[in-house]
Amino acid sequence: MSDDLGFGKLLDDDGLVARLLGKTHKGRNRPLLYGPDLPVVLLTGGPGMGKGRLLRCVREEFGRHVPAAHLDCAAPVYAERAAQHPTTRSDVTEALRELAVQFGAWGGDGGAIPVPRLYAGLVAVAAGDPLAASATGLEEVRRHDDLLPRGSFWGGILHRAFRAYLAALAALLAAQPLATPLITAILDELFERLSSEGRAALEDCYGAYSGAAGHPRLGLHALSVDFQQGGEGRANAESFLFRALREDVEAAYASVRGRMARAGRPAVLLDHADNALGRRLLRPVLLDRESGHHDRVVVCATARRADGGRFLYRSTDADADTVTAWGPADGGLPGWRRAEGGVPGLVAPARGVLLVRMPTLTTEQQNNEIARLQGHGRGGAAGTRGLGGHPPGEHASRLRVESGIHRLSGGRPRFVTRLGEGAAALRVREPGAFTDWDLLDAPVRSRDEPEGRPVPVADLLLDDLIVRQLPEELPPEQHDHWLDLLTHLSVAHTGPCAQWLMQSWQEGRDVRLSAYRIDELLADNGWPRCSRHFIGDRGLRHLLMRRLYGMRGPRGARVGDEGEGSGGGGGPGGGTGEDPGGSGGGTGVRGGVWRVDHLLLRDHFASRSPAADDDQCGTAAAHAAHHHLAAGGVDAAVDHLTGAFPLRDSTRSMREWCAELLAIAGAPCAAPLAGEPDDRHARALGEAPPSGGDWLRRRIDRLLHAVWVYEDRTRPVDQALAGTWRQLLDRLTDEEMPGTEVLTRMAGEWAQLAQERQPLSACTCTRHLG
Amino acid sequence: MLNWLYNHLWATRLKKAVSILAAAAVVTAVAILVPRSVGGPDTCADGVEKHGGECIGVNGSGYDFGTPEITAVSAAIAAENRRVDDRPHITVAMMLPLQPESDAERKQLRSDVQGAYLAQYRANRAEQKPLLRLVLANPGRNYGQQERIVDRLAALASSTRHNLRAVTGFNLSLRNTVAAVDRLTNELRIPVLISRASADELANAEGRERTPRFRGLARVIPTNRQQAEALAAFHGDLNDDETVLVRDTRPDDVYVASLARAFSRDEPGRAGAKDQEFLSPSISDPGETGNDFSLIGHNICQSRATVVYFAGRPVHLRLFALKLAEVPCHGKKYKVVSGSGAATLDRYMSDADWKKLLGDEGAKEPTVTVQYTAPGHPAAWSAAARGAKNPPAHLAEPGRELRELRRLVAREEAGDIGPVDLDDSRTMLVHDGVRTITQAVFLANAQSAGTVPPRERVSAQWSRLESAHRVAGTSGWVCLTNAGNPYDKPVAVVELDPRTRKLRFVGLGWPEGRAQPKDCVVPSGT
Repeated sequence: MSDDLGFGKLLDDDGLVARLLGKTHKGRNRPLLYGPDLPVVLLTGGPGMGKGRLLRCVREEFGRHVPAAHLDCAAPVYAERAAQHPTTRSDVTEALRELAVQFGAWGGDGGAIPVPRLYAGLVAVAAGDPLAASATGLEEVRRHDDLLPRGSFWGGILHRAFRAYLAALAALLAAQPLATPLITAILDELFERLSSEGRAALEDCYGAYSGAAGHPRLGLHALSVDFQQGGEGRANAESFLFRALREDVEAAYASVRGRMARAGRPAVLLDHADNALGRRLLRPVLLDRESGHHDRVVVCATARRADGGRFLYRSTDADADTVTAWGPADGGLPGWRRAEGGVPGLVAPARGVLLVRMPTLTTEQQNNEIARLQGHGRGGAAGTRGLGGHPPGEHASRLRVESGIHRLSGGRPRFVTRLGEGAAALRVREPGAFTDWDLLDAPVRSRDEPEGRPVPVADLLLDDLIVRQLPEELPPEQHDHWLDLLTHLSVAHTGPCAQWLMQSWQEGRDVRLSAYRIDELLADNGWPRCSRHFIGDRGLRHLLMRRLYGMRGPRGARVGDEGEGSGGGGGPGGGTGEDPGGSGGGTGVRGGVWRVDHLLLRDHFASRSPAADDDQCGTAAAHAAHHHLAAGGVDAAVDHLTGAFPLRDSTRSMREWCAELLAIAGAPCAAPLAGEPDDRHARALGEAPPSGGDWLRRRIDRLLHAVWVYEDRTRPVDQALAGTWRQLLDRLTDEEMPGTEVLTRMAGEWAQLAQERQPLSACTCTRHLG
Repeated sequence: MLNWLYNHLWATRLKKAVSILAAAAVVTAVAILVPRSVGGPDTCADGVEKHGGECIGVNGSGYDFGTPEITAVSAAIAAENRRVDDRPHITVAMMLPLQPESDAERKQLRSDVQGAYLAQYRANRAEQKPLLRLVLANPGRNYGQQERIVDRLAALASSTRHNLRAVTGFNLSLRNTVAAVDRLTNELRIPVLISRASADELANAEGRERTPRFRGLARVIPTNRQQAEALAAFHGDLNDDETVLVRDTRPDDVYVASLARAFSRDEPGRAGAKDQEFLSPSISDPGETGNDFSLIGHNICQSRATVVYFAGRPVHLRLFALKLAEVPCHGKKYKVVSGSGAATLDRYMSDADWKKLLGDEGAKEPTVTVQYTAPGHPAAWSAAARGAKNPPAHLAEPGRELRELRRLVAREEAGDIGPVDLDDSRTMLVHDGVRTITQAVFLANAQSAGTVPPRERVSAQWSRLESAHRVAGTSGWVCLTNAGNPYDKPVAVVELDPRTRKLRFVGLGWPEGRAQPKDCVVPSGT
């Protein structure tokens, strides 16, 4: 199967897709799942999770055996076509037309699916503009000729009068001016030539339109008028047209001939269905099915929000638990069943939805994909090497690359593929010094421009995941600096921390985005949330941090000046010679913006009362130390920890101190990013003793560096380093003080976690590590 | 490939339906066509298979081979077989074509099978062991498929369940018959007793020095030569010019050939007319022979001959007699003399035929009388012994046997076996044959260990059956020479009497020219 990376469980012979469609990708029949009431299947997952790829897989592999109409709701073509004749077209009618054309082109079992109901509706809409010249109106009507069911000797909607009907339409054009409104003339011709079968079909369908009272002509008229009316009326008409299409498909399957000649279920695949067009298509399906208008069309759509989209819920909190969510990793098949009771129209549409979480790749799948891409990248070279095997260094570097991709991607397929492509082109000279940052720097050619200049894979990924997938509700004027905002936020924790950063950076703008709004927009785009990081996806955060470090802000920018100034002056113990970035580079040099951001936050928290509660680091002072450490202020951080150690500050408990240690040590480190020598390892082992300070400060310095290196996780865990923790913690208890037992217990817990290579401070986005 | 088939043949209900219908059509067509052209033979009954439109095989469980005349008697045989099945028994196969085409032949067949059954019935009630099981073996028309049957008989002979110890029957003297007997005796060493075929080729030549042509062959019917000699002896000394020989030259019919040879003996007196030859298409098909016979009739008319020796089959004999009667010849009366094959002639005669033979209405003597030897005649013993106070044993003992048989038939002790007609001598001859076999088996069993004697012991007893162990048959004493031929077995000279339209017993003819010796001791040198 083409490009089905990670979809095995969904696409295999007894997977969800095969059971929904009643056919395997090889065409074998499978017992149908659910029915007659079907859920709308929403594939949920953030950018790069392969939702669209899955739909394309379904269309290509299953579309050979069942009719599968595929529609990209984000494609601008529907809106463009609608804009040509806004009075008689809308993007929904164009999308429905596209679906009908695809169903009409079905050439497999049972043959093309005729759409007489939709045709009648579209014709009524097309002829409905009372102000249009009849020639224009007729042209709009004739546009739908290709949807007209061809009828055969054996029957059909129009019998063999198909040609006569077309001739009559042509004749209308000649008979200018028309004696009656165009729509009346058209419907006259249509109804005159209907077979009894066609009449019954239209009666069943449009007779049920509101106000039709069983008369299909009245229904069609009303539909046309509603469409012209715009607003709610047009939405009604549009949703009814989709119902007509689904009834057409249903009729094609439920007729005697359909039962005999067709198998499985038809599918409507809606990519990017969480945008306006997608919502307008999905909503009527959900409402119709809720009110008992069942059909056998498997509607499969994609949505980025984990809960499928806000339009599914009437009041988000109350209805959240009514929706069925399932992921392939849960095993088995989802047990969807429409909840009993409730008044249609008053219950959340989410009841009719089956949320399918897109699967992340397992470690094995990642390694296979990497190996596959390596094979591509190296080309024939691997073959000529013969049986000589890999050189030992290459094996080590392969393991490094694999573990790096595993840590960064978190199983997100796009990440794995891109990083794999990058790694394939990468030559790791020194596996020992190789960090995940180096992996992000790997040059890759974009797929769109295979001959173009290679760019770092991180940039390509950001382009894929952020720039090309802007949140729908992001105001257009924010489009240009959306990526920049996120880049700055990569250093932020949640809440006030991020908000302060945003306020500082948007000071000059008229329209500002609050960090809380950005958080919502990120969630709308399907990015996960993390309690400790504003950017809740570890991979994305690293991409953004890398970008932040490489960012060159405008020289003399106000924020930069401020950061620089406060960094140099007011910080506790800051501004000393060891501040490596303090050499007046400002935001113009590499790493400048990074340091400015961190110092901005340090100052923000330092300006508060040191003992003030902070939900991230315990105290505002610790929070400030965290950012100071990230900005290069190692000594300040050590000083803070030394001062807060219960031996020195008896108001603090040992447990709080340990939490602070972890919070501060969670700071990112700029040295590997800058390509500078990283002395943390040496300092953790005591090989590069810090200058000055008493025994406690030296021990805390070692401990901080040991934990910092461990928590950084841009390179594999050094178990030898983790082994020193117990010794370091034990030696902190040399002096009698309260809380010694806490240190001992902590030492045990950390050793255990290090054994499993788990982060010491757990959070959502680092769960896959280890 | 599998998926391609599935998607094209099974993916929807419609495809399933079409596929099932197509498969059903194919299966039906195959089921109809294949057995017809490829498959194994049809089975007619247990052990009987269909080959070339005939039911070929060996059966002892009541199958009548599609011949309604023998339905009753084969059912009776089956009942008798069932009776002996779980007791020590030997099997005797009755090998002869069991699906004859004409009514007359079917009646003859009934007589043959009745004779065998009656002998079986009597043997199984003689309080001697082992018991007798009788099976019918159909070698096809003209023994055409005898090889299959011989194979089957070989299997039965080596089976300890069946213990086939003798094969009898053989009513036609044909090349196939010779081949079958040859293989049965010389190759398979199964004792064979011929009760009805009279050709000299189906007999071992007499003489001390001669090695037997068929090892273990015995006969109860005199050969054609013997019959002809008996006829000649009966007719006394006819001059050569008073006789003429009419012979069929159809190849492969050893009966006709041997009869012609027997009639071609040197006769005293002036030389008569030369042999008149004709060629018939087959045993039962007259073909164009009628025209030949008319011409031959004219020629004979011109000669002095009044006795016509006819070496041919009954069908042709009848036609010849009729043509001869038709040819106007100044009131000349003929006597047509033929062999034992003519014994069934009366069954071919119609009302008009009898009238033709009779000639002129007022004539005292019929124009043509047909005289021939019958291997037996039910009236023989009473007629021959008429007037004698103490008839000799060679007449008295067969007479007694015949009365026994008649009684058995009359009382219907042996169950319903259809109407029994002893006149054509077939029943008597076959009965005597099976009795001879029984006698040999009993003798062999008395000498060997176990309940069932081996085959070679049975065939070794043929030459014992003389003198003290002679078999008193209903057709006369059976005393076998070392070559297995009956010594001086009397033949009945019979005449078709157009006036009574019946077979008239004329007298007994002795091949040796004189009656059998006392106690039937076969003299040396034979």
